[in-house]
Amino acid sequence: MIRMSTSAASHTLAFLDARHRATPGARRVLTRDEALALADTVLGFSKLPLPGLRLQHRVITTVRITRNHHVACVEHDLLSLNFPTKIGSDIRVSIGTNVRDLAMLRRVMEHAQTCATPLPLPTADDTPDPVEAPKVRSYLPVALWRDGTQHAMDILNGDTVANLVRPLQQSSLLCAATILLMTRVVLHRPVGGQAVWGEETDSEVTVSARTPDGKASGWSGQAHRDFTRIDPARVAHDAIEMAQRMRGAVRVEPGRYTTILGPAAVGALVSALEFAFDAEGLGPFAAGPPTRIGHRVLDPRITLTTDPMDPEGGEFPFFDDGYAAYPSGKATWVEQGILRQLGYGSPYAALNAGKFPIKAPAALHMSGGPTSIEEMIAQCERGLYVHRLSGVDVVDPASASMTGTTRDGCFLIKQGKIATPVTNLRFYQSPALAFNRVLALGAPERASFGLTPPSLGNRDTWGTWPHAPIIVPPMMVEDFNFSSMTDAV
Amino acid sequence: MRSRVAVGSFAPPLLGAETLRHLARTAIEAAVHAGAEFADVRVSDRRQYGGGDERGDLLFTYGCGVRVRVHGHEAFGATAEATPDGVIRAARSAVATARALAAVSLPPWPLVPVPVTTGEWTTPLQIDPFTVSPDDHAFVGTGYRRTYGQYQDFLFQGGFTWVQETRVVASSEGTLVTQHATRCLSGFEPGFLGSRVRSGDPSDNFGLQVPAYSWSTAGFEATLGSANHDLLEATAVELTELLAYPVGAAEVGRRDVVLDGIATGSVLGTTLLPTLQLSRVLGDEQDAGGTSMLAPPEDILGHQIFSPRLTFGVDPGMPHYGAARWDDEGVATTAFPLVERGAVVNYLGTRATLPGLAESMHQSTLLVSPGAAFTPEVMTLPSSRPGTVTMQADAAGPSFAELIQRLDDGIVLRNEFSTHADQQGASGIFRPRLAFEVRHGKIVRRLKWLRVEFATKKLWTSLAAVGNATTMQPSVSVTYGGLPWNLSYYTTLAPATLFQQVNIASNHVEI
Repeated sequence: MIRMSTSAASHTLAFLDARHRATPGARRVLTRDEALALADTVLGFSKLPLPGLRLQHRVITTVRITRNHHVACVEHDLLSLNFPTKIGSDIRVSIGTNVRDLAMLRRVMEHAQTCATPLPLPTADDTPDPVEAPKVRSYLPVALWRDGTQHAMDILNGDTVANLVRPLQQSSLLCAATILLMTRVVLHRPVGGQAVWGEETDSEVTVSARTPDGKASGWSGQAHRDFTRIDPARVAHDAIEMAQRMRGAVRVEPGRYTTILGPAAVGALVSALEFAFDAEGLGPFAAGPPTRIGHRVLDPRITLTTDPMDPEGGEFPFFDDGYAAYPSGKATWVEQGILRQLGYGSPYAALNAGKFPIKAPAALHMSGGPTSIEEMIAQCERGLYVHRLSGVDVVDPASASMTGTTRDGCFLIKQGKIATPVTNLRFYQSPALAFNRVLALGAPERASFGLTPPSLGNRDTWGTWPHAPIIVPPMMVEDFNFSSMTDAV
Repeated sequence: MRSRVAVGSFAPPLLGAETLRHLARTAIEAAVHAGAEFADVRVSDRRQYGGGDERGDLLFTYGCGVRVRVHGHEAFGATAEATPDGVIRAARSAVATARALAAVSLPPWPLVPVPVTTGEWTTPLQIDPFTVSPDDHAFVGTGYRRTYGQYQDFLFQGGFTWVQETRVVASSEGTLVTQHATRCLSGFEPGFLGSRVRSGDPSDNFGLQVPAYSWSTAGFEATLGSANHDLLEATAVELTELLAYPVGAAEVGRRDVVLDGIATGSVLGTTLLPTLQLSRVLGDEQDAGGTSMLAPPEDILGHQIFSPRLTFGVDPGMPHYGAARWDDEGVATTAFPLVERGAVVNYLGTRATLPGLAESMHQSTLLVSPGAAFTPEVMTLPSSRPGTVTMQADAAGPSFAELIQRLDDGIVLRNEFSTHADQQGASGIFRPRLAFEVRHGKIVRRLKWLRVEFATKKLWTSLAAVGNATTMQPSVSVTYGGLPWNLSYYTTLAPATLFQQVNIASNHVEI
């Protein structure tokens, strides 16, 4: 355990770096004891009482392979500290920093409180206030950490990259790939209160392939909290095969098609639909009065849940400020098509609305059905198979109408068989409507997103990887609306 | 009683310029000593204050990023530890990574040689926002709110965030430049709550941005003066007048459309700017955001692809957002065109990507100069991201009112857009929050449930008129990419425009 005190102000956190370089596969991020020691040391720098401090330490390793042969590898290590205070006569501010030198942290803490009057420490009866310490309630511990991912972060020391590069180099296509690995810890340290701790890992491998003439492309991806569960060679094979199958794509007229959406396509829609479960949002489920809770909003075969204990998905069981998020252990947003509840962006928003705080979803799990994609195709007289959607975003929040394009795999189906690859189409469709026209559902799996710009409707982190896990089935829907053609490949 | 203690008292610079330069030199020496034939480094000390209210936020950020080349292989190391030991570890780590890459990778293109530069530059400003007290920051914001208090149903949205950063760029070639920048991230918009609060119709939730306020490189003086309050008030009055028009749904079909400067900039920034980034053109973003419709370069450069009325380029001068004397590779910045009279004449490149353009064009010399490599924070590699792009107005062109008068049966679109482009920028969709139908040169009603779908080349080919300098307005766009994956913002300054036969679709969906 790290030992730090105010007398150790010249120390740095360099031990972290030394540790993981000395021991291959060693933990990159702070342990709980180290994080607590650091938080208490920083709080000790304060001349005035503070309600508490939030600490996040995240390390992301990114391997990027471009033009089949060129590999780049970077590790991004970000330690951030946030705490509330007051400056000026009565200006409440949130202070954040990424500095990891204790002398600099002391400087931040001391200056930030020049002339400041102390914030009152919270009591049990306090009115909710964003600058107060979270009133922690009990929550179940979750297991979002997988050692296999941590060990894989020394990615260049193993065979993983070489094994992924080899099929790309042997391919006659223009290939690019990404390997992403993350470890992250979060600590909320309220003064005099119960510390809130979470740790997680995540990983993803994606490959895209394009024909040299730029007229056909394919993509594949796998995401898992445990990197050892990902098969990079399989991802490469699937992407290359998809690109080969897309050769000779023909144009089809836009319009309404029976559409089979692969898991990546459904995942993009569900991820962008998250805002609709925010009670304070402008989405179709929250608009009112009257409330739509208790009414059927989706196909009766669909149940949507957020379960922090979900072994394939899950998320931290507390709000960003440490308040317990799911009092009953998990949240069921839609049960057999019926809207059961909505969540909130912060516990204070819920309390101000007179509601019990339930966190609006980041991770989501959609129930599935018994039909495989092959069976869906066999059942389809005329329609489209969409492997992946790109640039999915909300255009009209009131109806959850979204736009985006097909990408890296789109096929015309005729009489129960794939007839021909087709060029990409733009869609304009509300999943809140499309998910009411479900013809068949398959087995749920975690959707892979890779590095794609976030949707306005997604409540997860902005522009950063990873997305919270979205587990969805492939889906066959009626009358999915493709509004125009696009020349994009 | 208002406190006069400056924000800077609570948020002093954590490190002086000399300390940053020392850290930069230390990192370079460590990399070279470890075996790098080339290294460059960016070290930054940044503080940010967002105020203008009884609440605020202060952010202190330090970072160091080291790029090295070892036997041609490139790697990058970064640290937030502001000590010589920290930057030495980052440099050595980068060298070790470059060596390891030799086993699995071909080396990238060699870096473009650039002149060695040294110097120091500070963005000129009249009032340093960090010498102003938090109470005075809040007082200004409260004053703006008061301006709108007299307008019923108006919701005031806006505020100021101030960023002050000292950034040092150094290289093993001898470059050592120091820049002190103060930037203002502001935006003010009187928003109309409209019937949303009464009927739950969110399509009536819109506003009109005050065009004088956008992101810029400026001091606290940007917030002061009676002219600012006059502009705020004038915008509120204009919005009130616009709200008086009857409301209806748009007819679908092809219509001539006038966009104000903010709307034009939003479409330009979202569709064309990303397609001109060499990182997308050359395939570096293939497995991420996408590639570019403006590829391959040999089929694009020098060819007229858009309307001859379209000319725009990078403008790193004051007071634009991102104004800088040197870019993040230490190369002197200059204004340069990207599209001239509808022809693509340049791409946005860096020292690392420009050789790829030369190779693609089968040229031994560079066609485009570097000087547009930036990174929003130094713990990511610099890539081609302009701070500000300016579209040229037509000096003899019409005013905004005259553009509207040219419409016999058309639509005028105002202000902030929700704009979406595909993975190559080849097509897109935008949904205006404020649209009007024009008959015989006059606005006749406000339109709801309207969206525009377009093929990008066709849209910019249909550009029929460009407004004069009085129609220029700023907007902010965002781009994603780089290594590690990150986002950055840039501003677009654009005039009002008239497009012919634009595809108007209905947005109306009942749930």
